[in-house]
Amino acid sequence: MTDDATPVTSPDVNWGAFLDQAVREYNTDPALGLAHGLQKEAIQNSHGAKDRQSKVQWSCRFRLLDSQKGTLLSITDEGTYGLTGTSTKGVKDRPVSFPASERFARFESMFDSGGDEGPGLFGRGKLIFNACSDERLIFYDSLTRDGLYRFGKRHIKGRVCEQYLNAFEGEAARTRLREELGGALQPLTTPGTRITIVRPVKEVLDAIRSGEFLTSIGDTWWEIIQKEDAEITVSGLSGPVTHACVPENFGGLPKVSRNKWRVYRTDNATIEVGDLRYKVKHLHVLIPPQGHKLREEQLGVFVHRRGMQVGRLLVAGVPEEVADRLFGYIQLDEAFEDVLSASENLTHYGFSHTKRPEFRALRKWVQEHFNGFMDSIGLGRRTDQNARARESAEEANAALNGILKDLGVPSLGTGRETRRDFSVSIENLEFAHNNNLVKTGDTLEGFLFRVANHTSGQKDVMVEVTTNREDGTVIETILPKVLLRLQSGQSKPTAPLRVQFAAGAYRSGEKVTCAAIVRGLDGQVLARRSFFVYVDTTPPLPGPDLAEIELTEYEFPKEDSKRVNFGQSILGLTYLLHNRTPLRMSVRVRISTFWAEEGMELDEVFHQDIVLGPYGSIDCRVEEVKVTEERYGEVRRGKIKLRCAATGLETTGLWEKGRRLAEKTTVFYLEMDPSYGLFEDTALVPMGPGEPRSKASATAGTKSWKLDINSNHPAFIDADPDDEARVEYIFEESARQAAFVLLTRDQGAVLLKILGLDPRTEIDEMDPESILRNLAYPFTDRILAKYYG
Amino acid sequence: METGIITERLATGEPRVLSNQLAPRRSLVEQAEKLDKLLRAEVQELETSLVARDLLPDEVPPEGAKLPRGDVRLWHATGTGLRMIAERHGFGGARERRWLWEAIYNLHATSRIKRAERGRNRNHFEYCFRLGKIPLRLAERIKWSEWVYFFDSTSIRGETRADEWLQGVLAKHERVTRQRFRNFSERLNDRIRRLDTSVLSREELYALYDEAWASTEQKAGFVQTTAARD
Repeated sequence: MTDDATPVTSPDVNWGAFLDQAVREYNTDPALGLAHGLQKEAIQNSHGAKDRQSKVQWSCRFRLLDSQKGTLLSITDEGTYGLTGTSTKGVKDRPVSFPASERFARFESMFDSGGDEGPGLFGRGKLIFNACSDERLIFYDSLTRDGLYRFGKRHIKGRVCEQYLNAFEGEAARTRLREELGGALQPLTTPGTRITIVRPVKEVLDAIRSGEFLTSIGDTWWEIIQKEDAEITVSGLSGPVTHACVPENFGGLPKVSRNKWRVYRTDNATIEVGDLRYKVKHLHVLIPPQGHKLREEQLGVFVHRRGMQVGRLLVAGVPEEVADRLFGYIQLDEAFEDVLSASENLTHYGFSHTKRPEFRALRKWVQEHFNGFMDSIGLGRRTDQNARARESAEEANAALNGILKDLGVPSLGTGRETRRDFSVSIENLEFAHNNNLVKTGDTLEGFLFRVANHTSGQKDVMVEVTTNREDGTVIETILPKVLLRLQSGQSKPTAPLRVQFAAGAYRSGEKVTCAAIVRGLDGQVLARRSFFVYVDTTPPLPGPDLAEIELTEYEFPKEDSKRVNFGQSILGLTYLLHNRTPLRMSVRVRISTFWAEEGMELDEVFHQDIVLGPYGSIDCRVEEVKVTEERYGEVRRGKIKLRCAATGLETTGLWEKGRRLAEKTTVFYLEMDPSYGLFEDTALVPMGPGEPRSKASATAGTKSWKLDINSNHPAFIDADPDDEARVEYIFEESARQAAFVLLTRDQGAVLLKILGLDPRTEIDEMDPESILRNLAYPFTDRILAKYYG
Repeated sequence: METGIITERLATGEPRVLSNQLAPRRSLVEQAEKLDKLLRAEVQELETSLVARDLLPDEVPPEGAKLPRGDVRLWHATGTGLRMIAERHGFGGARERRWLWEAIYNLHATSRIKRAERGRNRNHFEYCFRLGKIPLRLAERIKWSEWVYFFDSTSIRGETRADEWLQGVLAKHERVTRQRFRNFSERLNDRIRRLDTSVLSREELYALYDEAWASTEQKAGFVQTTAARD
């Protein structure tokens, strides 16, 4: 009942969807996947409950074991408080937040973190245990110092989250444990907590079996392993128990430069933020000798909190020559840790509130020390205007990306193009008059359409071929709907087709389209391809695009990333080349890679002369593009363009020999991550002072966007000399253009959702004033409020 | 190129080695260090010979000093020397030569023969190298700034056959004016901007160049009396 006695209810929660959302967050940059997140959250919870009075040393054990319920992953800690406090199920007047000592109640509820002692902040990490179960089922048992033993479960089934109304206690708990898990686990005998994940997901099992899980523990928790000699172990179904340790490639974290290690370390520094003073316990930056290998996720300078590696701090101007091996960390005093934690994102892998004064003060301080370090070893950064702008853009982009992610904007800038799931090509088309003129009574026959499935599974599609007038009306159906079952990667032709341009049906002087349409079984159009003929009239010259190249298939080493490291390959690169003219087209197809910054060719991976029939198409496939040090070593790291180009080999009435007929360029990133944001690239461009302050444009052939900042605009000239003002200026321009990019990318629904507008609103039907007033301006304002707020 | 080449050294002295072959790093570095010593001596020798021929000053100008532009004689001699070095060590391909120029620029040459870096595609040493392949008496018929303008053209950069064609033209003309040469370069760029000349035969390519050259003759009011090439 509300105060006015109106009956009310608490809204239903779709737990399954909620869990899916959590999984997505752990699988989204900067987080490192579910398995990595599991160890991070589990140890965070456990270490946060460490009992400093306990005589038992704190430890945390991950162990796979067989049971009647299938494989189990148990996570057991010792030297902790266990889940203390009373079980509050059924209690009507629960507090808004359970006190820290009510560990059991906090564990059984959502959005209550482990208290104020450990690194846990949001209480959200508890969801990851269910997310890591194929059945979304976990059990937990706990023994407290005063001997209270409890057993509970959490099972997420669709919209429902099941927990026992009252957890089992004492002997009943022991009995229930045996009933549920059939003796695979014995009741706890030392104070602590155990979480048991039933049938762990494949990603977690694979990570444990490959050793990656143990490695990620070392990366995340090396500080407590080093300082407290913390024991964290992992054991599989067979094999030895393995202990997490400080990563070997940290080289013992030397404190001074020696043996070709370049090291910067400063301790106990004070940072002032307004009237408050905070302490940086350690800033430690290390550059190992050349050739020393670090993994991608170890690179950069990380902020630590409560012994845990949280997120990378953006440090501008890391010289390329050391970017593949520079690493370090920052440890803060507890007050600074606490205040900075407000800037962390939900998964504790990065920072999304980077405008908070404490975060900015830390970043500025670290940057100054970093610059000093680089200067001292002869690697000081360049100070030209473009370099400064690039660094400012990096910072502005990082802030924008964090805010957009928080707002729920999907990542557009990962740059992976939307591959076509299906393609259609034309074969064996021959015209009688050496162009696409047909005369009444002529017959075109023997041509066919070929449909290809580029998805990873078997698909059933319907194909229909019709001839149509310019207004779209169907003249006749050449091929009635036929069902094609296509395996992954398979293509199938239609039967040879025939069209007779009979008088009556086909009118003299008209343009006729012959189109194949591929639909799913639900009627959705999946692909189409067409050619034109002109009946009894001379065809006009074709448009400027005489040919077209589509990138239909490729596989980068890492899903959803265009990063490629040395030694890795791009597999199954397939382009589909279309002749868009009625003439035979003889072309040389070359697929090459180029160093984007220098515009230089690095490798030719395909070279073939091909003849295409009128309106014909052909696949060009490269099984493997190897990225080797011999071929790409001089680039070290940077953007690489992958280009497929078709050049005419014969002069015809429509093109001359040597003409570049079509080109398709996509990019990948060598030994570096793309910005993953809305804008893949930001550049200073000298436009006129009266021209726009910035311009967003789609990068040709890719899904990425580029932001040009007008370096001659008086507002930029005013902001440029001051580092902070420059970052803010570029941020504001990026925010302003974000709405434009989203609208252009047909992401208007996202804007509607973020702004709380009616999702049924037809943006296409809105007048420009309404789009600006109701969508673009409020969206920009929302971003700016988050940035400056 | 049979081994690795050191293209720069970090402040620590660590070498950065580039190689077009897979080899264990240690042996690569050892071989690259040997080559590095040879290159140091050879580039020094080249500069000394240029000084002896009065093409370069004795003294190395102080850092930041304004450097003279240099003329065709200087850069032709430099290019000839660089070509010998490249051939001696097997830097035949454009890519490997790029590494060689980087090494010489970063580690071995003095400012007397270096000029401002303008990106790897517009490399001063590569221009010298190309110039060095043309007989000096012909190369001198246009000024160094025109050569740079010519090599800078995007349509010419990767097309070494253009150098041979130009050599033929220069053999027919005692002197080519700056304006005419620039007009020609612009015409040629316009004409072949959308073409990939690598698929054209020598005859087809030369026909395009001839066409651009002839159009500048007409523009200049000349009467074409000889073919632009033999």
